[in-house]
Amino acid sequence: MGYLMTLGIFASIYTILAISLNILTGYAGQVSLGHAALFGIGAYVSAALTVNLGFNYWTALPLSILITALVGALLGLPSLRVHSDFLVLVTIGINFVVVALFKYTPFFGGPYGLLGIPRPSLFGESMNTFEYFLYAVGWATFTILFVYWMSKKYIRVAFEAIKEDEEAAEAMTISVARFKIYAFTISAAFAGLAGNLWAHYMGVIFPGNFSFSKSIEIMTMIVLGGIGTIRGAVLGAVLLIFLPEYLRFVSDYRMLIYGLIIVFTMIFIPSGLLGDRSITWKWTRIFKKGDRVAKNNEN
Amino acid sequence: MIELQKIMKIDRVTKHFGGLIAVNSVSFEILKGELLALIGPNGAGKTTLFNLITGVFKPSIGKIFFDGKEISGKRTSQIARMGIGRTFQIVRPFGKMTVLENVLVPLGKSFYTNLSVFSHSPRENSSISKAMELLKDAYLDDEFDKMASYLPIGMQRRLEIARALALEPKLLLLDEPAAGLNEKESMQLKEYIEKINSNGISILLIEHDMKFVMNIAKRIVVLDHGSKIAEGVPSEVASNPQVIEAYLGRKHKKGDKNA
Amino acid sequence: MEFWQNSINVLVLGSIYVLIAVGLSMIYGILRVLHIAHAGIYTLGAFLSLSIMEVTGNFWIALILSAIISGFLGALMYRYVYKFVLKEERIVPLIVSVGLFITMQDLYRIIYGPYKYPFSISIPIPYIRAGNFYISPLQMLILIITGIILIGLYFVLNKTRIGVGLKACANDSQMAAAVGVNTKLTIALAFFMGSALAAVAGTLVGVYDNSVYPTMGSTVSYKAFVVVVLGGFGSLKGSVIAGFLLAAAEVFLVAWKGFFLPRDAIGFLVMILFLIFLPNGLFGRKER
Repeated sequence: MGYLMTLGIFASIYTILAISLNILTGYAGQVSLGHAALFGIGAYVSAALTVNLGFNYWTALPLSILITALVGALLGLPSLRVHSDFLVLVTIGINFVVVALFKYTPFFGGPYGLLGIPRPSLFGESMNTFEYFLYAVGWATFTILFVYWMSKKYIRVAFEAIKEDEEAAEAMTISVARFKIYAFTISAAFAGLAGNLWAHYMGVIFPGNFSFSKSIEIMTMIVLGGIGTIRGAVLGAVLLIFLPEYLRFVSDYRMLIYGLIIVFTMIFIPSGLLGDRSITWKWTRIFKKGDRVAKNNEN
Repeated sequence: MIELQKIMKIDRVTKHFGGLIAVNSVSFEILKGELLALIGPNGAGKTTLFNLITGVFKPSIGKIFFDGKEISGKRTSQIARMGIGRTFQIVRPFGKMTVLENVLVPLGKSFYTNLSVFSHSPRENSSISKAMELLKDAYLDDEFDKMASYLPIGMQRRLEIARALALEPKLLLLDEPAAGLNEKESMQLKEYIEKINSNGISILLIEHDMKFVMNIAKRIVVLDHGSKIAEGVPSEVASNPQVIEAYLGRKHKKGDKNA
Repeated sequence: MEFWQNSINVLVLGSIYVLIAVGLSMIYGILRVLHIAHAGIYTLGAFLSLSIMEVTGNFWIALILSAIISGFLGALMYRYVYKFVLKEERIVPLIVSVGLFITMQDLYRIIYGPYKYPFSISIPIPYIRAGNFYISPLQMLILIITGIILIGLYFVLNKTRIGVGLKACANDSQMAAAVGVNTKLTIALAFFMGSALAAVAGTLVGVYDNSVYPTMGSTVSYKAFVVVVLGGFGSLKGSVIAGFLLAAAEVFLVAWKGFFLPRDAIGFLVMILFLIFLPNGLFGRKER
């Protein structure tokens, strides 16, 4: 049962991560293969605040989110000059540099990482696994609801416009620079939240937890689920957390399978399993169309 | 009071790219409510001038005034917000949005500069009915739920114009709107543009197609090799020997090359 | 003295960077694809050489066979993977390439296990030594092979029809097709040559470090992009110069003990700065 709880916590954390990458990549069209860097910054900031500087968890939580968001805004600056595949190169580079910084900064524990990160406490007692599970699920739910709400507002329209055509978006009074920075900041805030939840559950973090392969993992989730949708991000995260645990061979060949998922989804089902124009909906549409034809025949 | 009648003033604007002079000390004015056409052979600097007005480029020398305020050097989105709508030479609707969504984008104009972008929804009834009205004027209301990229090019052009009009511009810039259209589409477009103009919106039309321009423009400015070579009513311009030399002569040569 | 010793290190490290980056740059020049899976080929080359050498006992046979097989695999990758996604947004082939790379890397782990295999050879090159300054036989080997390859490459690209075809495709592949260049074959050839060079680089690194392992391509793959970015995308001459420049920067910055970042991070930092401030690299043509 405890094991299932742990998986649930991981699934919640990755749901938040996948949704946060989806804001950046799916909504605003800024593809990042360095998302693990932001995840890591959230984790390291919160861990360093509580372990090294003696902050209380409930103070470290907003601070870690805020600092990650600020760093995210800063990391968004290159996107104002660098586009599409070159931006991806920059994000990959950032991932390597950030991990190197963790590894070579004594304050962050160097290659040995940070240990003894406290669980948050409620009413003077630190959370047990079940309570932490509820806590993580709570945050994941909040993330889903917040992003769903956001996706119904004009901010989503602006993101969609800069994703499709920056010049046309500018002509529509949308400042591309402003909204790219928004996307990076919001996305980073949620990645920071995920990092915080990870660090305070694990109790130990290493630079290697936030390496480039973690970025690929997050990208695989949204590619598989369907880029640009919340449901896709959630499905991708949950699938990729639970599948390896239940299918032994999947866990042995994890990276191989991630790689194949990326290659095959991109080539054969570019909208993923639940994307807006994915095969899943096409099948249902075929049925609907069948209904319509039948109705027309009746008339 | 003459000042007030101008919507735009281009004042000795020059643009270099390295050693190349794309626009050379060009000056002209657009009057309020006017439909002015800017013509010239390929490579005359029309599109560069257009990009200077919309803020894609900054003039090397010279100034551009809109509604009494200097706009040269401002960002594209700021200039758009001041009341200049534009279309693109190669149509650029948001292809993966529906026709209706395309027009909803500019209706968020007042939210994009502040945090109300988080609280206002494009799905409010007032926005949708406004968008539908604009689509109706563009004869596109029947297509509102179609994906923009699936529309024929004539409709995409009108959609682009409708989208620009949703900004409630004082000046509308049209970049070769008739390019690639057939006779019927071209007629429909002309009607649409005249209707917009009659509602008091000034229009600057860049056009390659002489026939289209002669029919629709009240006044014409002719560019060649980056410089203004003529300005006047269509009949004057058409009989100007310099224009015939530069425009038709070159066109003839171009025809030779193609043959 | 230390300076000269470091200079040799620069030449050796730079040679490896150049061998990897030239293929990447060639492929980018023609297809505008950032071929990250190139590093998968690099690792493959090392493993193939190792295996072939175990069977035949001859390093040269192993090196050449490994280069040819890897070259074919590279060409197949174009034919059976990239071709399907080239018409998509430019981001799609890149993500596919990352997918391919991690697939290959994990395949090696599954086949060979996560171990470091020793790869030692004996070559009839004398140890060159003058006081504290020396060039080891392996360093000499790398310099000689790289030299031969670069001269050969120069000849192929400038004096043969293959080179003309490659250049034509890089300029405008539709135009090239119109004047009778077999573009598909030319692109496949670019993949073949680039991949063969990567395999040679992998083999040489394997021998030099005396170890071959599944993840040996991880940093290299992205490092090669640093070189390509620095040299200007698609410019082969630029890649060659940039390869040696990057090596020099790394070697001398590491030798200068005060620097706060590890060697690999320097490269990425340089790449980020270049992409932002000098996107055409040092020697690239202007695009857009």
